[in-house]
Amino acid sequence: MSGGDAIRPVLTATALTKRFGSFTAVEDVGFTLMPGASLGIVGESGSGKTTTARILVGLERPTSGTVVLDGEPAAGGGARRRRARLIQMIFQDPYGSFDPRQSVARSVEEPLRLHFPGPAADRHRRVAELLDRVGLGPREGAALPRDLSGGQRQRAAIARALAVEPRVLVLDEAVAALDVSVQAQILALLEELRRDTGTAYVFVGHDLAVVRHVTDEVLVMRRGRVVEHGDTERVLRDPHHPYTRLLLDSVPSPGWDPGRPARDRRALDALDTPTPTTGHGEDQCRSSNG
Amino acid sequence: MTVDLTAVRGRSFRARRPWGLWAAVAFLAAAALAGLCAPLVAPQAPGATDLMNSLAPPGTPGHPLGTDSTGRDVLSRVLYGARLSLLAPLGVVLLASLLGITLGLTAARLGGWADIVVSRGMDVVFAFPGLLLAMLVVAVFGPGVVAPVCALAVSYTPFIGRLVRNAAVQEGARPYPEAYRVMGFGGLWVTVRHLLPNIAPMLIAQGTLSFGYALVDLAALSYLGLGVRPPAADWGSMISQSQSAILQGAPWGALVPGLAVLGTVVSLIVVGGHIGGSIVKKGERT
Amino acid sequence: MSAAEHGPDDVLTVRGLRMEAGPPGSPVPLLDGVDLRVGRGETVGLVGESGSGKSLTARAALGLFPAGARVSGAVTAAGTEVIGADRAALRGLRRHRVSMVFQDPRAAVNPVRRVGDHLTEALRARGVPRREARDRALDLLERVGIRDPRTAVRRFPHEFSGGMLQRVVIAGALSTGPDLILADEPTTALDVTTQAEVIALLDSLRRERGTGMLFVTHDLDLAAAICDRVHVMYAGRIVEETTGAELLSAPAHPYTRALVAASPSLHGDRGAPVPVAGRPRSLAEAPSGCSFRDRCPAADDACAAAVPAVRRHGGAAVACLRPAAVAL
Repeated sequence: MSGGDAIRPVLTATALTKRFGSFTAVEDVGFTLMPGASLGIVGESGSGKTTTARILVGLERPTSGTVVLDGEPAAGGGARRRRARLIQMIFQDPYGSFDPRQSVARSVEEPLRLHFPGPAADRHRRVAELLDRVGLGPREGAALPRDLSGGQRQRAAIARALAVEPRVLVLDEAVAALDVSVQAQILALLEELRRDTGTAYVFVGHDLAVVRHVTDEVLVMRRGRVVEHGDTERVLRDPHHPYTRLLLDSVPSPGWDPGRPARDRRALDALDTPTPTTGHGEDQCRSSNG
Repeated sequence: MTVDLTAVRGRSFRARRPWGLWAAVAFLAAAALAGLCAPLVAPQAPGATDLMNSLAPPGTPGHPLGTDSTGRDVLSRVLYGARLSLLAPLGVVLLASLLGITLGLTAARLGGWADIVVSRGMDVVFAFPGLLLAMLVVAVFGPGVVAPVCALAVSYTPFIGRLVRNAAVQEGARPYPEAYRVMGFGGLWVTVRHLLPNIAPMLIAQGTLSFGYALVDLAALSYLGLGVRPPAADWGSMISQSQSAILQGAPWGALVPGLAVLGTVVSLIVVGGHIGGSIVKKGERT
Repeated sequence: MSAAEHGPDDVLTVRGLRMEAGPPGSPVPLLDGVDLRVGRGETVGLVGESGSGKSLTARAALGLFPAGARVSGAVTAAGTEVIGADRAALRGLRRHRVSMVFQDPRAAVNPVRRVGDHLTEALRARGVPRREARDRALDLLERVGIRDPRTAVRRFPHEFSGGMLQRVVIAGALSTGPDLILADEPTTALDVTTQAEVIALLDSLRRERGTGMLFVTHDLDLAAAICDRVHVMYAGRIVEETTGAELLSAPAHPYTRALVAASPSLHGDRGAPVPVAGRPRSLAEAPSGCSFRDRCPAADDACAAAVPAVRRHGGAAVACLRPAAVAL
């Protein structure tokens, strides 16, 4: 833990902007994350939520803006290892995020070897401990990723990310590809780990119901900008921005009127017209992934 | 009502016995062993002339496969010839792989201009006939083993380099290289420790096929007198030296090394094809 | 199922559908005794997790069986018996009466042909003159909410967003005026707001044309919101048939109850989703008797004895010895 008396944010993002050529994927996104907190970033494809997550972990260099991790700027270059110790990421596709040739245990061991050089026996004990922590036994550890189920792979990915004891875990659509019954298991595991380790979460997703259950605070993003930011329960119960309302109305529920989102969208578009930021209608054109 | 659709695809359930593969592997092992153990198993020294017995037919006592026009034992020469005939193409493949992997991975990792320059450069070499390049190099540096091997290695580099580049770009687009970067590993580590092993089976398949082509190219150079110099001999130079004997009704001096070349190349193609095929099958499974 | 009385207006009836693959010596069971029906103008949901066989069932309605599969039972789609039908009959069925909308619209259209060609292809194959087919295509695109159809027909699939392309695919599915639409996770790849618009579109078309729809999805909330009736599948069998309204409010089968409890909700109090032990199984991996018994908290020896028969429970039909025994 940090030495200071006052609790300081473990992650501060300030005015993050990312442009790909003339396309602005992320514009002026900022937030702070306290130790052990859980922040959601929601939005649709092209909203910039994934690009934001990639900037946080250093996979993308922001065009402007800064990321401060545990009090120090996380700049590129030699700071790579320090950043890796502080912030880790879980990807949507657990299978693809493993080297298909390596056993799960070896994949979990590899970051340990980089960050905690020491006797192999210690490392192996730690790997077994980590796998056990996420509910995997030695048999799953010895298996190749392709021989595990989707839920087991995501557990393994969590074990690997936790190996370096990061202060922040970025979860990019981490449960979106899982079956409902398995998804609930992973959500329960994540909640338990957050309570036990005090790791802060940045939970990137499109499923508002999931975000509601795992986050305290939420950013709603649209076209690269944050349109609403606040306490998760408040945002979902009493949305201030029409786009948040559109998202909420789009979620099916008993007595749902699927025609309503279309009307919401027209209201939103009417709101957009005074500031023509994008020249063409986003509906007809394929949006870039973000 | 019950419909049985198994008949449509029943064949796919029957396992094929890969006896062709085993024969190819056995032939290659025998050829390698022959080169390795030539001093032990060859009945004569490869350069020993027996002018009394020149152009002796196969079956002559002491000369199971006959002799050539200067009375050298064909069996002994083929066994000894296996050394150069197999080592030189191995050198070509290893050198070409070294160059190809380096260039291919560099192009894939750096991308952008570096990728364009390297890829177009390889295209240019690819378009230039390897044998012609080798002949030019020999014309400058003189015949021997080293010059043709180096020249062929350069002309084989694009085969390996393009494969590595494309495979690395494809593999690099999967999430795991990024996952390793997030864990704090450098790009070089991820490329060498994770990308390369994952494309290795493809490389081995390509290397095996290239070995066969290099063997044929080197044999052709030797046949043209641009390869190994006497008294050293490989299969190509044996064929060249024995061709006049064919007209004298003694084809065995050229036929035996010719069959050795043919058998080795066919076996390599079978083995390389099998490795390539099993990669495709593995790809379908995941 | 008792609730699946055969009506004269049914556009799809499936009775005792069984399917197995693999070599005859060691067969791999895929589906076991699936019964369902879709009436004219009705939306019927088929809900389940991976391995449940929901997509296999939907595809069976078009005579699309996995290669090497052995199929028995009866599948009648738009009046045609599908199992054992010859190629010509199946082609006629797919061309005129039944359309399918898949999860990934990009996989459903030829990427190098213009959208207009995709739409007119089926019509031209039926012998509709070129001009008329073109007019019909324009009309359809307008109907599914594509602005400026005249430009759209000349575009290529990659020029459309996922949601817009799914509209095009739906327009194609409607071009032949089908009696039945098989929708296999048609909105799973789409954003929520786009999903709502696509659902609204499918729903209005169903109302206007009386098209029956079999809607395959893993999303309980979506199924509950749009389906008249819902079948819940687990490990190659239908374990519960209920109404859309009761799916979430009064689930009866322990599996349905587990699914409802495991789904995070957007409304009501913020109770944490309740995990179900284990992972979804396919029929081949399932235990004897009730396939859910190894994950079911209420299971006992009786559940292992035989596959539970379907019984009535309130408005639902449930394949369970103790429906509603598990607390929600």
